[in-house]
Amino acid sequence: MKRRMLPLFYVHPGTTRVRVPHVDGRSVAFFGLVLFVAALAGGLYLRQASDVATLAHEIRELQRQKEWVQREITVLRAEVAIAGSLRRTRELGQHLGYTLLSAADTTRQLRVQYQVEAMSSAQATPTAMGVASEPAGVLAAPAKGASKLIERLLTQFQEWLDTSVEQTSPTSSSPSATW
Amino acid sequence: MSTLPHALGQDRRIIWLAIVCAGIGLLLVGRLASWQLLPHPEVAASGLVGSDRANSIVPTRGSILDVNGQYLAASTVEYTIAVSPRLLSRDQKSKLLPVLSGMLGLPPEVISKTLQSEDSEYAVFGGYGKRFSVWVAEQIEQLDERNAFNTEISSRRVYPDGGLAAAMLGFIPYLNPDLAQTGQYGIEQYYNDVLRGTKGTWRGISDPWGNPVLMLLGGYVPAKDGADLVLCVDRNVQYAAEAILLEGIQENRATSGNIVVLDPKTGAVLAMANYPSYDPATYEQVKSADYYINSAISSVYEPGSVFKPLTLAAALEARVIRPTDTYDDRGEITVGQQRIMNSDRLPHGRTTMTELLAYSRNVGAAYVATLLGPARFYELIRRFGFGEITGVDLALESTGSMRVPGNPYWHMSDLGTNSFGQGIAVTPLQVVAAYGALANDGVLMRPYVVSQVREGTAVSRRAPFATRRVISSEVAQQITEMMANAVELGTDRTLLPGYRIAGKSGTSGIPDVGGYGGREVIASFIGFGPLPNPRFVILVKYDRPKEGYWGLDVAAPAFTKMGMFLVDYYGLPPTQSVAQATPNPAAPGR
Repeated sequence: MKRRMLPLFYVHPGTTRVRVPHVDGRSVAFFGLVLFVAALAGGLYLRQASDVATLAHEIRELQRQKEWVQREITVLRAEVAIAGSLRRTRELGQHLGYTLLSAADTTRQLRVQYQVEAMSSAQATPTAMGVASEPAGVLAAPAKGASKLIERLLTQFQEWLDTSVEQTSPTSSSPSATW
Repeated sequence: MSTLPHALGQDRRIIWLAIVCAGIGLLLVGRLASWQLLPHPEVAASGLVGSDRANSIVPTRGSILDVNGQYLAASTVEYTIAVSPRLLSRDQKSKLLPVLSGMLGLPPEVISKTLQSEDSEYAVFGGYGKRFSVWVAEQIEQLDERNAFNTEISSRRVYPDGGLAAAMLGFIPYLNPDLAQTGQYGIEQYYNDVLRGTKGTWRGISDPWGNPVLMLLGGYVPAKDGADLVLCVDRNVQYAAEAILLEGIQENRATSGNIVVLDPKTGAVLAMANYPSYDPATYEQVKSADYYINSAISSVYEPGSVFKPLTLAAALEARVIRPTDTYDDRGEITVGQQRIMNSDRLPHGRTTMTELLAYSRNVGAAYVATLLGPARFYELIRRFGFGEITGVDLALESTGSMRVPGNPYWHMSDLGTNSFGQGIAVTPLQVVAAYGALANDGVLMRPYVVSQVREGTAVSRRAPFATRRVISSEVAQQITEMMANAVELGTDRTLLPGYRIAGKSGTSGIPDVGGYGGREVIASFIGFGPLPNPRFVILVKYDRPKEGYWGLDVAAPAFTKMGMFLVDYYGLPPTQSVAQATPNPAAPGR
């Protein structure tokens, strides 16, 4: 029989027996290994792609939540602004029984008339309202005040000595009333 | 027992099968690799999957606060909520009806009508003008059927005190989508770039519902919110100024007016009240666009006699007069063939410079101007800031107008009339700033409204800016003393009990086609104090009062009220007793 008449992949029959295909263990192992590596690579790729997509989704979710929170903050800030408005303060005040003064209402202000002391050139600073000249006098002559005090004490002692035993209430002119 | 051809055929089939399977497998792997690794613009163009285009993130506009941190303008966000009824089944619609009714606060029949509407792709709850809060929108996003809903965000400006300081703030024209984030007038316009912030973007793939599923690397750029502005205006002072102005408008039946309060040491604007005004939140409900104009900086007027102290200051600086000088007031003077007379048209004989101010003698002012001469007069008036903008940080400031030598329309008679504030057009803020120079030892300060810009934790503070020295400190003190004496001499009332102030009233005619023949005037009073250390310059101006005529009668009472409020509010102790400041009962009052 000529070769051209033979089919492709013709294996010369060694015997008339039907040959069972011989499976080479090493080939199986090799192809198995190749399949395993390919599956592993494919699995790793799919796993990585999936992780990236999940992470991206989570990041976007967090960004979305951040944007929502920022919008809430914006709205709350506007509510704070409205809550602190003069209009609302006035309404609350009226509700509580307060009335609004006119811009320069003198009838509801306590105004104290006072005389500004003529100041020497050494004391050029203005004094606050209601501050009398007495503190300045005391500060200016402490020695004088002390001797006056002693004099007063002595006078009171003398008067007490002159008071009769029956007289129990002090007179209106006694120095102790001035304390 | 099989024959050779049968065995060969079986092997052949197995091999061919293996080849075909391998081929199909290779083809699949190849196509997968092609779709995932290579770009395919036809997919993005198909619109079935979200394209790789940039989506913008809208920033929040910055707030405007007063000096105490109280909000004058803030931003809020609102949502329009729509539904696509075709994407909901009948069961879903009936289940959502009570839920949406409670969530949106709309009657069930309105919800039902919206859910049943299938005329268009989307039906808007409550109509296109209806807005919902961010919390309602969040609840919509939590629904299982959220893919059938669409929430559209919009920003709105909030003005907690309504029309307070409206002309100074400006507004956002929310009705015009093209200008939705562009401020108009005032601070909103001047600081628009600072307030509006920077848009953010995100680039990625979204599903057919518009939900992002994949973010590109480096595709997220967060939005940068606008900076907050802190003003030097105190809203309580502003409120008082507007209330006092309105009171005077009603009492005098004036058509319009201004009150401006300035700190002369720094140039800080403490209050700027205009009438008429408007509510920025409903900016479209005005009779005319003139309401938007801040007349304190954009409208000009002839200042009248309030200009006389500036003329005298210029003459003192040029040393053509001394404070103790006198002149012979004959009731009229001719300057450049223009006859100028006193307001009472009477001669007054020998008159001091203080009396010139106290009794507001036009003849005296024109005489002093002739001593100065045009060159020195206009040079010093320019140094006071007239004829140029003050530089205040508000939009649409006017320079005013002033004819000077060299202008083909200038005439020598202008020197005479300009000396007492006629024939020259200025803005109220220019006058206040010029008086601020008198109060600040001769140094002109640039007025400003915004004192801080806050971007996150970074704070930029504005430092006061001295524009120039106009007059010497000595001349400033001289003119201040003359003005204070003039106030005591020329008024029949105490302007600010317990305090010494320097001031001047003004009553200026309003020119029309025929000249100054009309009865209508602009009545004003400007002053600063308390002396010797002035804390405020206050200008009060009323236009066309029907009750009253002279500045001292029309505007001075409002000046007193404003001054009393300021000294009480800031706790400034009196510098003199009420008895000491005895007004001159014989003063005619101007």
